[in-house]
Order: sequence, then C-alpha cells, then structure tokens
Amino acid sequence: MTLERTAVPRPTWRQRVRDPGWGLLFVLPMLVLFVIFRFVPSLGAIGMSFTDYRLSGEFSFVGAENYSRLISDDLFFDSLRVTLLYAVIYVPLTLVVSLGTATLLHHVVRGRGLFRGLLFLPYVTSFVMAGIIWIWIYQSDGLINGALDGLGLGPVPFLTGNQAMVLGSLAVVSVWKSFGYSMLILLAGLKNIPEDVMEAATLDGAGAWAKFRRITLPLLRPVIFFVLVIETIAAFQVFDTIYVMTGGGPARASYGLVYMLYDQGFRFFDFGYAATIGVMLFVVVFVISLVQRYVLDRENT
Amino acid sequence: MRVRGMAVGVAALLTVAACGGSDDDTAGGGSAEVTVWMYPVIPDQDASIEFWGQVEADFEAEHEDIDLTIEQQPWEGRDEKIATAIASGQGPDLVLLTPDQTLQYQVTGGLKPVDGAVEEDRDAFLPSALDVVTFEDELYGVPIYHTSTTTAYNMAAFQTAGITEPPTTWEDVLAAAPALAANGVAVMDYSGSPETTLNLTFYPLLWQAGGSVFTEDGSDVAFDGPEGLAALQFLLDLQAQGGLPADAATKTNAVDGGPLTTGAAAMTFAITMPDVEHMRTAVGAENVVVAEPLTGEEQVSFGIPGVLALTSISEDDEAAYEVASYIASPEVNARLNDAAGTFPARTDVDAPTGDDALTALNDALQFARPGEVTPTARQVMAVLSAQLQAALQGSKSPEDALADAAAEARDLIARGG
Repeated sequence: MTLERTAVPRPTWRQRVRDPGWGLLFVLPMLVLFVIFRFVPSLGAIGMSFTDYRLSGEFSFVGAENYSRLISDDLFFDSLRVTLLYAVIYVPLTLVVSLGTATLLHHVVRGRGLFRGLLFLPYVTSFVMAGIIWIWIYQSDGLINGALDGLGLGPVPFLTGNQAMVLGSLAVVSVWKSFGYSMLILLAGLKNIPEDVMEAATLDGAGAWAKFRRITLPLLRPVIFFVLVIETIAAFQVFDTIYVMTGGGPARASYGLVYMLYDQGFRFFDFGYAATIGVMLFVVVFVISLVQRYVLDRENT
Repeated sequence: MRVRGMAVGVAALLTVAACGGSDDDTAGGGSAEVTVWMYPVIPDQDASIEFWGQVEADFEAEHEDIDLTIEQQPWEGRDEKIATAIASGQGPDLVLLTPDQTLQYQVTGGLKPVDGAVEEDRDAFLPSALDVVTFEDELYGVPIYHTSTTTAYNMAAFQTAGITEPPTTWEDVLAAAPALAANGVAVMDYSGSPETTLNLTFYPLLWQAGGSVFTEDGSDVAFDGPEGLAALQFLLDLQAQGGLPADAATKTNAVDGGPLTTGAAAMTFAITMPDVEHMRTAVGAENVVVAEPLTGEEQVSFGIPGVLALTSISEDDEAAYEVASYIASPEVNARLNDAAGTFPARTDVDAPTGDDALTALNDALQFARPGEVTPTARQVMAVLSAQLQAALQGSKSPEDALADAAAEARDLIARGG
C-alpha cells in the first residue's frame, strides 16, 4: 500500500499549468455568455453615451455633450434624490426584515422547510401580478384603508400622498417581494456560526439579546456587508415597482433614476442620453459600494 | 426584482447598442416578403386573429409574388418593441402607429415615406388624416382607420340625483356636481396617472377652452395661457365640489373596473366604442347615453387615424406599398370598421351603423382633433402630466403648475428634445 502511494508521480510542470486550463474550460460557456450579454453591452453603453445614437443606427460623436447636459438637468438631480430617498428607506427595512426572518427560521424546530418556502415565495412571484394586487391593497377603498375605515380612521394616501409616503409604500412592496433572497443568505451565515461559541456564551450567562448583539451580529458582519451591497444596488435599480404601481408619479414623487433612463430611451428615443444616465448610475452605485466597503470592513481588517 | 430592474432598464438598452446597424440587403429576386405588425384594434382576440388571417389570405390570393405575414402584437410595451426592432434591423416592414408615434420615429430616422402607397387614391382619404402624418411634404403613414371619442353618460346616476338632462357644457357639468356628490358620485371621470395620455384627458379640455398645447408653428408651448388655466381651473372647481373621483390625480383611464363601470362617476368626455360596451355591460345598456362632444368655449373631441408606417429596415418598398394600399382599401376598411368599431379614414367608405353609440361617435368625428404632433410632443406631455398631478393633489397652484411645466417644456424645445 505505502509503496503504491509513493509510486504516484508528482504532477509535472505541464500538468500544473493545464489544471487552471481545465477549470477555465468548464466556466467557458458562462464566461462567453457573460462577455456577450454584460461586458460588450456595458462597453457599448459607455461608447453610446458619447453619441447622439438614433433609431436607424446612425449616430455622430458629440463628445461630452450628453454629460454636460446631464449636469445641468434638474430632472436628473430630482430623480437622483428620489432614488437616494428610496434607498434610505428600502435598504435598512429589507435588512431588518430579512435578518429578523432569518433569525426566526434559524430557531424554528419543526416545519423549517415549510416556513422557509413560505417566506421565500414572494421572491419567485411574478412582480407585475403582485404589483397590481398591491395597488388594490393600497387603494383608497382597498384592503388596508377598508380595515382602517372599519376602525373609524381616515383613508391613508399610500400611493397618492406626499413623497415620503409614496416611496415608503413602494419600498414596503419591494421589501416584501425581495427579502427572501437576503434572508436565505443571512440564514446560511447564521448556520455558519459555530455552536460552541454560543454554548460558551450561554454558560457565561449571556441572555438572548446579548448573544445576538455581541456574537451573532459581529460574526455575521461579512454576510451583512454582502447583503447591504446587493440590496443597495437593487435599490438604485428600482424600476418595476415604480413602473407597475405609480408610473413615476404622483407629480414625479417616485421618478427614480432608472425610470428616467427608461423614459429617455424608450419613450423619447434619446438613446445617447439614456446611456449617459446608465453610466452615471453605474458610477454612483460603484462609489456607494466602495464607501460601504470602507465603512463596514474597516474594523474587520 | 434586482434582476428585472437591470434587464428592463439597462440591459435592454445596452443590447440596442450591441446590435446596432441594420442588415445588409439580402433580397435576391423572386418573391418578396412583407411583415406587418398589427395591434388589437379589434379587441376580441379570436375575432382579431380571424380577421387579419383572412386579410393575409385574400392579399396573397391576389398577389402571388408577395409573401405577407401579419403578426399580432400586444399594446403593452409597444414602443420598446418597435424601437428595439428597428434599431436591431430585425422587425416589421410595416407597423401600425399613431400620428405622434409616426413623427417620433420619423425624426429619429426610423421610417421611410409611403407616398408610393397612396398614388392612385390620395384624394379618397380624409385630408386631416393625411396632414397629421405628413412631415416635410412627405407622407409617413397610410391611414387605415380613424378613432373617435365623445361623451357618455350613466343616466341612472343623474336621475337618482334628480337631473334628467345630461350636461352638455362645462357650466352644466359644474352645476350638476353637488347633487351627484351628495350621493357619493363624481359627476365626471378624470385620470391623472402619468401613464394615461393627455390626449384623452387634459388636451380635449384645453382645446374646448379654446387653447392649444403648442403655438401654430410648434416653436413654443401655448398651454400656459388663459385657456390652459381655465381648463385646469375647471377640473379643480369640479374637484372642490366632489365632482371628480377621489383618486383622480393618480388613477388610470381604464373604464372596465374604473368609476364609470362601478357607478362612482356619472359621465366621461372621452369614451371609445369598446369602452361604451364596458359601460353598458356594467351599468345596463338602457342607462348609457352616448352624445355630442362636451362644449366649453368650443366643442372639441379627440380622434386619430391609425396609420401603417414603413420602417427604415424594410427591404422591398414596392411590395410594402402594395400591402399598405390593400389594407387601406375601401373593402378592407369597411370590414375592419365593422369588426373593430372604428371609423373610416376615407370618404368613400360608409361609417358602421346599427348602433346609437356608433352613430354618435361618427357624428363626433367632425369635432375631432388628432392631437398636436411636434417632435417634442411626448416629452412635453410627460412634463405637463407631472405638473397637472401636482395641481390636482393641491401641492401647487394651477398658475404655478402650468408656469413650471411651460418653463421645463421650453428648455426641452430649445434643446430640440
């Protein structure tokens, strides 16, 4: 036995080089798709933002004209403000909800699969259908207002009131729709926390809240960071919720960046300008991700 | 959600960049292929498929050298699909458009002129239907039908409030508002959602007030004049008396399931034939009265031709002219109107009869304006729509709302869109 084992030759130089090659071969189909459908279009959009691209495919280079127009466009800053406000409401809310449900699921003893499935269900629901049903729920004579009316309370203008009200109502729908994904990631993070640490804390007499605060949260930090980043990006890309439920209104209260991009590109056919907004969206999200990384990772390193 | 926001908003747009440039001419003689994108002008799906299938078969029987394909498209996402189709060079030769779309695609280089399709019978078409799609002396759409809108009343709601004659002027509508509001009914439906075209909401009122969206030469906006203010004030006065639906600022103009069918609103000033049917089903045919367009300072309604436009990616223009000319012919026109409840876009076709509402809508055509078509019409509509919402919500005075919209619109015009 021992003889046989030593007889296995060490990998040659050539084999060691070939190994990553095999790996590359396996990911190649995905890589090709990624390059075709992500890289090329992204670079195309950056290029397009320097043109006055028209429907017929004709265009001429206009230099930084689209960018200077964007910087002097009040609508752009309005929509940026709307998007930021939405993100400020959406990101903490979705983090609290997904962390709360993940912690509950972690402690559920029976029917764990059932509850996990139920909580994940909204994530795999068609958003257009869900959006229409949420409109009914929010209507002045809808489910919530009907119940409030029964209690003698006036109708709440969920989708027709002031900006904070409208964006808050939209954020609630988005959270309902998408917390399941973050919940699963956080749940996986919770499962990775070693039992013995918790046991030691229990022996030391730590209560549930102290354990959560002093042990769970610090150990979950990398996972929370990941969730924060993807949810922030999701917040900046919010489109379908607005498209289905308010159309950017009322009075542009929910007119976010991607909605402006959509308007410029597909309603006004100003593809060059729309691409410029897309590039700016990328820059903004990139900067915010860097800031988050700096703030949240600082203590870790 | 994170995936879809990206897909719809950004990736689709980016793909346009990647696939830009149209195909080279691959026509190699023999039979020509013409593809038409048709929309549910005939709302009933089975009837629509049968009708256009018949048109296709009839045409091919007459023209053996042309292979015609009429593809049924949904209204939803119409512009996105047409825009990406033209930009990618993979799409229809002929597509059904509205006049404002026609101009939008023309200025962005997406269309070719279609004068060749009406050479023989240009005089047979309604002059207004041709004018509205004629740019720089060239025709960009062949009218195949005309729409019409007018007032419709739920007389049961009026009679319950003790009103026996349907209001026909702005003053009448205002006078009727309190009595109906006492029963919890809004006298008039109005829809302020940004998704609803102002052509069916604010613009008819603006025209009735004697105003217009743009100045005659299209170089400036005109909606911020006294007429525009009068139209907006009319709405606000109604709103103050409970004369508009509670969610007028944000609701869409869907009649089916909206206040006109639930009985929460008693009349509308811009109804189409399919929506008359919805009202009849909901509140009883005997209660629905369809009458002349509403009168402010003037009596005006909205109605547009549906036109077949030739895309810049079409390869065989002559064959496409043949197809457009056939679909616009009197025979097909008459049958389409019968099936769709639309009206003839030409003078040598009789309007459909046999229904009071059809007669009223046909009579309303003489008051119909086809909207105001300028290169920035859509952007201006979006701008104005948002400010009207602010006024209807009470967060801005009507004067400020119109002035702000006008300032923003002038910026747009100065920039050329």
